[in-house]
Amino acid sequence: MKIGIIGAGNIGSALAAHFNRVGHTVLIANSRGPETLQDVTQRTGSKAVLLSEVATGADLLVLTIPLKSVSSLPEGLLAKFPANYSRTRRRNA
Amino acid sequence: MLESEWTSRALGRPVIKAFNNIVADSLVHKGLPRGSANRIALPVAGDDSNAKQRVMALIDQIGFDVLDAGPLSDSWRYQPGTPAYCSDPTAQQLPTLLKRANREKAPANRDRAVKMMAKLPADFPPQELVRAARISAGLDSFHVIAPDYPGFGNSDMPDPATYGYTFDKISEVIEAFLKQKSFDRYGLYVQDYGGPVGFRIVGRHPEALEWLIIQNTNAYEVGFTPAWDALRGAMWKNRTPETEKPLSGFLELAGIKSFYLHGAQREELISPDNWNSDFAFMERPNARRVQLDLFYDYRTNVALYPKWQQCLRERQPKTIIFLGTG
Repeated sequence: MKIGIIGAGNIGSALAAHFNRVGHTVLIANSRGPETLQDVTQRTGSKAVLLSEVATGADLLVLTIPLKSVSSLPEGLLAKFPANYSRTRRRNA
Repeated sequence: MLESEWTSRALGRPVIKAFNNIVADSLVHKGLPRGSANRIALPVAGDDSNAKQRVMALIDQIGFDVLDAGPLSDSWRYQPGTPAYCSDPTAQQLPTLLKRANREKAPANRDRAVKMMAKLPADFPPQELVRAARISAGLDSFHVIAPDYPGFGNSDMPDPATYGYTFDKISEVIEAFLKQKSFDRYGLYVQDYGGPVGFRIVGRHPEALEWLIIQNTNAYEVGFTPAWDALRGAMWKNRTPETEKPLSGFLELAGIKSFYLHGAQREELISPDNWNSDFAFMERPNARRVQLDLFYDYRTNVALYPKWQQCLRERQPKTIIFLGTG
């Protein structure tokens, strides 16, 4: 399936590598833009995209960002992400 | 409201909560094929059962067992401060850990852990944190044995005229004891005489050593304070009743008491049972002779220091050192 990941820290990049390894298409985005993710994409086989593109066409959206960052996600991020699709999140708390 | 419930509401989408209770290091390195022994199980919570099923299948695919932990409102059971948090349990262990979670106590547990972690260096091995979480969750345990050496405490005290009290001898007895009890991997907590005994054993079996806790024991020349002058300057050079005499005070009640109280800021916190029981043991026949024999034999440790230092340099065990000046 096609999986979008928001957040490219330790957990986000670990999941990107796992998902890619088992054959999924992985898009990854962070708040600083795709040009900051070269290392991550090389290591994980994922594709870096803009935040505004990461949910487009995704079957699953994974959040690996701090809770406080959820409210600063761009408006309209989920416009193309149907309401009945799943979304998984990861936080320490 | 839990964070995951809040997020679901904020974004207007069903949220499946996963991966919040595993450290990144375990997520990267500890995935295993389905059916493997010791495969880690991850709890997954959510209110949309179709979405949850898909996420569970995905987690299984990347190397972890999965447990349906119920709706989001139950997911506090694997938040920080609970037994299932970062303890890498198996599918067999996880249900019990979730059941044992205590919602009222979890925040205080979490705060304690955060406080402890703030004191650790940034490169502290993440698997040591997992190990701590596992021990506090009751998943791992280890035996603690604290044997009395020959001539000490409740162990036998063979006649010093024939037994020969040396650190070599004591280390052989303790090594044989460990072997008899089938310990071939261990951490050593060495204090005072425990150092010369423990380092000898480690020197013979470096592969057995997992970690060290060192408390006021010595493996370096610079570790000798002026308190050692009566030994180093006199008795070690020529053992006679005269050179033994300045040491005899250490074997009487006042001397023994000073070992416990010297440098103590609040003496009332140290139980008199310590020196009273030590002194009772010292009153046994031959006990003082045994101690003097070991005072004398301590000189053989100094010659071994370079060997122990080399062993520690090569083995580089995980080590905690407590060294007080008092």
